[in-house]
Amino acid sequence: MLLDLVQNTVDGLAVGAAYGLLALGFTLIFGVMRRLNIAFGPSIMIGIFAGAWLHAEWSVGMVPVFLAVLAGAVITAAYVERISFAAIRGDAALASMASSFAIWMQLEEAVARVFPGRTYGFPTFDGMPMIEIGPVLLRPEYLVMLVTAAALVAALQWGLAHTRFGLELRTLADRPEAARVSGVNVARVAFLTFLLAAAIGGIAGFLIAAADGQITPKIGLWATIKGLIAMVIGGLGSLRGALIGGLVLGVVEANAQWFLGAAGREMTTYALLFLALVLLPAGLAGRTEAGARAEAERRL
Amino acid sequence: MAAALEISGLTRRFGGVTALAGVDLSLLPGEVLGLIGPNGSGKTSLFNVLSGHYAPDAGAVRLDGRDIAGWAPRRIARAGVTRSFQNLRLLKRLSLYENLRAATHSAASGRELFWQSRAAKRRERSQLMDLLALFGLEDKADDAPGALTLVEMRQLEIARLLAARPRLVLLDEPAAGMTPAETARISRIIAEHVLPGRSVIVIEHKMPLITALCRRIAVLQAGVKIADGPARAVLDDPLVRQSYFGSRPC
Amino acid sequence: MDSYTISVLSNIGLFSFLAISAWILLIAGEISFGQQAYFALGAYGAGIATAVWQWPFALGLGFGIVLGAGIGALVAWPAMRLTGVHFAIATLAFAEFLRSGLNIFRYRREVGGYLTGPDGANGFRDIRWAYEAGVEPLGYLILIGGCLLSVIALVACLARGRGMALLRIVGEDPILAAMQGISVARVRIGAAALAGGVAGFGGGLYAHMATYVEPAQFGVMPGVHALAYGLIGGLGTVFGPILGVLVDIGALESLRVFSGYRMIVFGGLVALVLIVRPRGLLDEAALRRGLAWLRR
Repeated sequence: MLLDLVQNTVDGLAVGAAYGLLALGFTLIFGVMRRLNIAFGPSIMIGIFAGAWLHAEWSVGMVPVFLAVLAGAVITAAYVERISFAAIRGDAALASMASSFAIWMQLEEAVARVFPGRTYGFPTFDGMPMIEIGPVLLRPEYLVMLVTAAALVAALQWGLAHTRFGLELRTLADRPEAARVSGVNVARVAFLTFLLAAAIGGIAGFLIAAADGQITPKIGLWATIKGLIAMVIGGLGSLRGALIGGLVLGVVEANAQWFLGAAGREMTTYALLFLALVLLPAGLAGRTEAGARAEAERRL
Repeated sequence: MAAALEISGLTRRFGGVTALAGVDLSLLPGEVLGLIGPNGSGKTSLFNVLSGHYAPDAGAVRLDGRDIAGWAPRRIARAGVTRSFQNLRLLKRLSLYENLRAATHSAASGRELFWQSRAAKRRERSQLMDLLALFGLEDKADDAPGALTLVEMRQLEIARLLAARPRLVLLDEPAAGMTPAETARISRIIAEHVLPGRSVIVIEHKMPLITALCRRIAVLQAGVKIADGPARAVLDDPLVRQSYFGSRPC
Repeated sequence: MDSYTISVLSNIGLFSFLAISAWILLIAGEISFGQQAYFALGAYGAGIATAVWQWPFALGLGFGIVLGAGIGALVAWPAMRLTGVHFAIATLAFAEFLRSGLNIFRYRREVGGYLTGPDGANGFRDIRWAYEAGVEPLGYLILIGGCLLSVIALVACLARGRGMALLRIVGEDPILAAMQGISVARVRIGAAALAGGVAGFGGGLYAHMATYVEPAQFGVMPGVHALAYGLIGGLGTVFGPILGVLVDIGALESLRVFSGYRMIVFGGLVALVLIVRPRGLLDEAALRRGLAWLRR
């Protein structure tokens, strides 16, 4: 029982790390643009299918597949940004969301055209041994996920603190008015943030697909939903929060799946999500400066 | 005469910052008070607490004898307190007419959610159109406020304020962003339409508006009231001049 | 009318209920990814009422509406203070919670020698009122149309009274609304109840047309579609979401020349429309102009 709990938690942490990366992509876009890109998951899906196609046609190794996933996700994200975000100006968060939905439908159909079947194979990391830590087993793919997520978050934190782009991104996220006045090229920073988010999402998508060994177009919806949920659990606009949110979601799901079965997992996860939102609207790593605003909201 | 508004020991902190540190202030029925002070001195925070946007940490606010401190905004609004906003809060997707009508909903019955009789609708329209006409805005009743000039937007906000039939009016920098000529216009409009029969507090940095409207002035600095009295005396007070105008004479 | 046209029109009608439901919340300033939950509640509630409890059809539909509205208000009560993405995810969470709950919800009773009722993931068979009452598909289409008209009439009443204005004020600036003495909480809960009731209405009608419902039909996708319909068709009038449904399902049929590329064309079209009209085809500006024209 206790051992199951530990084993589930380890597995959950690994899957949660991937969720965390998806949430990271969401939170970057949302923090900078204050708009929701629900085509985020589907852009990743395009990348994954590009990688699967490359592998199937020329049976290339993991590195070219990885690059194809990354390129597919980033190029698709650039398309989404141009049409659904850059082109729709002003106070139009709803329009951008609806537009990204329309693009999502486009992307799904495009994939369905090129890949008419339901599931496709994806190359896996072969030949890596199972890691044993005492009685607990860790799949090597999961170790890769955990390490990658930790490294990416560390790199992002460093980049945000020490590069010019990072500074501009933070200014735009925290004080958009100040950013405009102080001559930050808002459109450029927003575009680059979009691409950065897509790249992170692409990495997450690659790791998830490589761990599963097969992909379906449904991964688009799946990635959008899991990323959104992890972002909201962690707290909007917080990088650390996104990762924590992902890990929490992963651990809860893995344990609920084990102890309660599939239906039980879904019910528990969503019930907890609802409760978390109502009780902790600022998220686990929520920022406190939103306090006065939140108070005004409460007093309505 | 009993005070219309009696504020005592009003305190509000935001994190480590004390925005209001025990403010006392009273207002007679029909009196107009000018509230001045440097940026960040707590003027708007005072309005935010008075209108229920934030709850005070300590102190009392008596409106006609009732303590309304800590009430929710909608309750305070129904008690007869209406405010304007420094950065105009207009409903930009609704018509001018619906912007005005917004002030009348809270008094309506539940049945009116689904149905207003033709007569009631006509009565309401004529009342609100008269109000718009007062400001020469009746021709634009069906337009969105986006097309208005700054002065017209202020006028619309003042019209909305009047539509709520308030007893206490809080005006937060009604001349913000205006030229001297526009300031003079809005000042005349306030004197003519808002002041009669109401207790009013005006926050403003533009002295011509304050001196034109208010016989009494209070000064806030760092959340503390440092002066309160007849306009001339307060403006001549060396302490006020130093804190507010620097050493420069006004 | 051939049976194909009838089934397309019936689908347009039923989806309109879901789209109007999401639209009502959009007007009140809330994004819901979860209106399919109330559609499902209406479908299961009305289905159980007529098939298991043998209630008359109208009463069954009414039960579906009440269930949708009641649960809608109940969910809105704790979720009321959430806005934007938070509210959207909360609605999604509830909808997925309910769907996974329906996957294990079994309530089978013997009616006339047969076991009838929801059977978890296997779905809920034999909601046969329309069949037993001998209602032809065309008749049922007319019934759907009539019910949709009653919803439109209700919204028209709200627009004539103060209801719609209250929704729009709270939707645009809740803080200002509170300072006008409006109870934002009551408006939001009222909007959620109304939206839930409308979705439940559509769900009840759907169940009796399809005779079979299963939890998998009420996933996230129909909810996101319903939301998009209002945004595409326009937030100005109740015809916006209906226009959205017409454009989508209509395009699905008329763009058959593009078979296989339909969504690529349609998605691009929608994206272009949104660049020009961010609040949909029939937006508030169109509504204002229309009203001014009527008054002239």
